[in-house]
Amino acid sequence: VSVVDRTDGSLGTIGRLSHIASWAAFLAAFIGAISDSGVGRVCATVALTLIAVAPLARVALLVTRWRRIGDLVFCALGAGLLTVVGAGALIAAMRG
Amino acid sequence: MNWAEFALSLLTACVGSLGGLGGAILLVPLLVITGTPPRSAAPLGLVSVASGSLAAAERHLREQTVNHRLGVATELIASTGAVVGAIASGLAGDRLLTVVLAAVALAAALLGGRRKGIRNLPDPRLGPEDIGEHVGTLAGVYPLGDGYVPYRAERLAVASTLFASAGLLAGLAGASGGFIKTPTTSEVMKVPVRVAAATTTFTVGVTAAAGLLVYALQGRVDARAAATVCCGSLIGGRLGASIQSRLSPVGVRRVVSVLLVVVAVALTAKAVKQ
Repeated sequence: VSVVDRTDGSLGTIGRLSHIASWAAFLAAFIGAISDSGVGRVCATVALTLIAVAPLARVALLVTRWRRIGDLVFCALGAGLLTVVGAGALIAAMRG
Repeated sequence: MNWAEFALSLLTACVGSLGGLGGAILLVPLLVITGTPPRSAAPLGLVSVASGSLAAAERHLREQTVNHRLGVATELIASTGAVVGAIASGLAGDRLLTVVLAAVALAAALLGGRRKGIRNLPDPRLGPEDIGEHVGTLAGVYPLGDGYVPYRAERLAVASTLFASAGLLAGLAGASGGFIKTPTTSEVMKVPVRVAAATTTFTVGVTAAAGLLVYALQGRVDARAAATVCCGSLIGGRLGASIQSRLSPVGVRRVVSVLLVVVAVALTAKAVKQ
């Protein structure tokens, strides 16, 4: 019989963080889209940073959670995913 | 604000989030048609996918339809294929790749479209305490109406090969591959289509985020246009997830099949122009 990893606790935290990141990104993106000033550019950069970092942070939080509850196989797979994605991004950036 | 970019990104992110298809494969050609230079359109496609994924996350987590273990395991295989594909990009002709992607999208549409009824039915022995992912496995239980549906990913060897191929093709073609991942998860691994779509929406966000970082480092992201696309996609992603939760599994599967046919037609048209 498998143990159920209930989708509350840390996953509830991920949901709340996603909610905050989503609204913060929307507000920043909206200001960035309507304003051509320096403030607008900063807000646009903040929005892009939020949407790029959020999914990777979600995987990192999952890896931490799975390590804590002893699900080491999936903890390793999550760490592997972050490594592959990071390596891929690095290779692509170096190739220009 | 460029209202055409806003409207297109809202529409494609809605469609992408609804069917777990990403949406960039529709947005990028539409942006190019409406005057965005191709070099700028590709990063905007990734902005749209990452935004739509983030917007849909809250609802998918609340409704407990996303299976993170399944997503991480399949995305690891697909990402490895994508990295190899990206490194090897240029070896295959653009036209051949586009035709192959169109054929894959059409085959996936037929595979899902010809199936009748609901495969994964609620189990009356299960209750709300059973909802969640099963530790150490690619199985779980998700709520559907008043019932609770158990599922377990099957045919892992075949699916792994398909995910690696999807990643490779996506890397070669510069797409997120969501339109291959959702049908593979649903039709090959026998995972309920709503779980498949929600899980793929999560994984394409990871892929898009990594690609977006690369484009940002290369200075290829137009911040103002990206902010506009981000705005539209955040609304569209939320809207798509909301519509998905109101549809039955059969309804979601039909929508996915129709969207895959649209993707296949768009890709064929692109191949003809190349």
